[in-house]
Amino acid sequence: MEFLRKVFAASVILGAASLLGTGFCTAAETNAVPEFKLKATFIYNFAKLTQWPNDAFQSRTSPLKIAVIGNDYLSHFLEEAVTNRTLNDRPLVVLHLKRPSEATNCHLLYISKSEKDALPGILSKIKGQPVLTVSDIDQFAISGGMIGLSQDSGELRFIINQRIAAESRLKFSSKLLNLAISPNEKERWP
Amino acid sequence: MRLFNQLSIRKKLTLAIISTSIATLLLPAGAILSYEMIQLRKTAAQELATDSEIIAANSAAAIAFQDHAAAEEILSALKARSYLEKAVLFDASGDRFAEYDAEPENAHSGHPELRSQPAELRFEKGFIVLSLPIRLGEDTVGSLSVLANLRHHYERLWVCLAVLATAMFAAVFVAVLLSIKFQRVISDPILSLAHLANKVTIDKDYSLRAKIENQDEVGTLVSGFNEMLAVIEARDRELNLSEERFRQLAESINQVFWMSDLEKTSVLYLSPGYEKIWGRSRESMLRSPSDWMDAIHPDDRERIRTAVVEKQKAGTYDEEFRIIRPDGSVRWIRDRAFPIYCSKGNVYRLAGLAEDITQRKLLEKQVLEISDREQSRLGQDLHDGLCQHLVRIGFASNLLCEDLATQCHPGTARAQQIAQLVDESITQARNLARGLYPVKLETEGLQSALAELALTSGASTEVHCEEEPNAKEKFRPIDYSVAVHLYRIAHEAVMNALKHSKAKRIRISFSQGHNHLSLTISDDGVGFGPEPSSGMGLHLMKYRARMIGADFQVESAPGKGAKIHCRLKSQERIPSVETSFAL
Repeated sequence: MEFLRKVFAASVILGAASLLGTGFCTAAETNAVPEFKLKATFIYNFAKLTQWPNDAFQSRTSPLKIAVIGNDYLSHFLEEAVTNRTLNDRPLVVLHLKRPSEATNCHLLYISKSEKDALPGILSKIKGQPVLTVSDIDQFAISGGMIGLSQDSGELRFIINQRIAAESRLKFSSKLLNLAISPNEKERWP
Repeated sequence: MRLFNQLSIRKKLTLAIISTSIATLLLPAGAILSYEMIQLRKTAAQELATDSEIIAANSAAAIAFQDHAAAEEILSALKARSYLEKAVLFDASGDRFAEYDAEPENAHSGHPELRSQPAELRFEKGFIVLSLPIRLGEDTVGSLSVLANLRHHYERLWVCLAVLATAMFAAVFVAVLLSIKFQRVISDPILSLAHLANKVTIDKDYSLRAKIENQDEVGTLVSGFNEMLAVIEARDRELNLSEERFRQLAESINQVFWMSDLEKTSVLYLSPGYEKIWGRSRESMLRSPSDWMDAIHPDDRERIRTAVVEKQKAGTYDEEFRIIRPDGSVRWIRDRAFPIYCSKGNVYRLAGLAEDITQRKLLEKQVLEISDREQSRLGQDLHDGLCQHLVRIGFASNLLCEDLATQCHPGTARAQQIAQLVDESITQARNLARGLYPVKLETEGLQSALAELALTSGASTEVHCEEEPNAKEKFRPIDYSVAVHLYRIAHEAVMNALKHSKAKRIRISFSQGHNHLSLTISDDGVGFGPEPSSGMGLHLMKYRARMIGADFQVESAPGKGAKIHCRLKSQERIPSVETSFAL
């Protein structure tokens, strides 16, 4: 039922945008569609280029769980992006969390801007656990998050806080690190 | 190939060795080049694939995270690869994501176009185009298309080619040096042999011999050549001797030896005697094979022409004729011909011998004239001497008979018998004298003489003389010498008929036309075959006829009598025999 509800909501937004035009929905909402899609792709690719410790999974074929707190739209596009896909023989599962306490039961956690205030609590909850945290909340990587998404000259970029990730025993591919921008000057990681 | 055939053997050998060397070298050189070409492509493809895979791997994340700058930075590393002309990264949807161009100012008009496509490697327009998908994990996030030139590899190929060419030139040079040295082993004996053959051809010196230097096939050839020269030398010597003997014979005899083809269209040989006897050049005869016939007396020409056609091939040609030399003098010629048979037994040539028989003719004529003269003298002496004496004895015998009868002498009968024998003797002597000396021939002409011959030879003999009705002009008197010969022919024919033919009837026909005389003696006796009985009679008649230029024909068959015909053309056209013998 949860899934049907999400599909219905997304269909309403897309159908309204295409059938009724801009008069019905705002410009921001219209632009939000590719942005969500792009973010969903980014998150999927982060998962591909991150190495979790073996004890993060119950077995070799246990699913890799991607959880989203807040922002139901993104979880819809995430589901679309991971459908029928596996990572190292692990199926991908998208979870939509209602409460931050549920955050421990996942491998990748996306925290939407709407959860900005709850961020410290969420981070402290999963601290030390092998959960890759991704968010577009400003200063996320500096604030104890691992990968912070940001807009740079109109393009979506990301900042990695490798120290926090290392504390959670997560390893990033050099390919990912090469593309990340530095947290202070927004420059390329060394 | 024709040019090659015209070269000297030395050049041919050198060329063959060089051609073989080049061909031998070209094949491996071609193989090496082909191998190099294949390797070049393979290496180029491998090199490009390696570089492209690195780029693809490196740029996968950039495409995945839509990082154009990072992608282009990765592509810019391709500057280190001078052979790479262009590289394009396409995203998953096939749109251009990032691009690298080694020479962006160039339009790349002739270059193959780069498109997003699945894995592909192709050689096009001297370039390699490689496309490969870019994967991130299990997903294809885009593709890379790379265009590379083969300049660097072609340079390697050119170097390889240059090395091969240099090696080939060096090998050919060595082959030339070796061929010059080794071809002499083969060519020198052959050239020496060719030189000798040339010398033999020019100098006709068959005593020369080639030196045998090798014991191989060339040595066998030289040995064979020497043997051939020895055989030719011996044969040549024999031929020269034979020719010398023939030449001496042909040039010394007073005869013309000739040889022609069967059709008489060309003269194969004519001895120098022709010029002496005919008074014409051999060249004119060789140019025109009928030259000898042009000189024949017009009266004889047709007979000889017919005889040539009918008798020469059969081998029965043996003719006597007159020729008129360029100075107008006349010569008698006896010409014989013999067919020459080829190996298959067919007549293919004719040879002949023509001799000048003028002197012989003169002698025969003189002998005949002397004989005639002696006969006449004997006949005259018999008529004037013995016959007159016998007449007187006859008169005396008759007177004695009358006296004895008057006296009734018992020897009267004996005396009468003697007187009768004397009368018979007188008749016989007169007939004998007439045969030897036909008085009427001289006094009354041929016709009267023939009439007397018929009268005296027997009651069965008759003479028929006539003049052709269309002979309008008065006949010329018959030349005495001609008349004598005709009379003698008639006399001989009548005597032969009386002696041998047992004829009951002998007929002498003589006719005189405007331009001919015709004498025919025929009988109804036993006749004779093609080979008449021996004896001089027939030959003498024939000879006499020939002396006066008359045609002489004998027709006879066993049991069918005989007919001797002698026909003489107009005397005006007949050159005097006397004249001809006066040469």
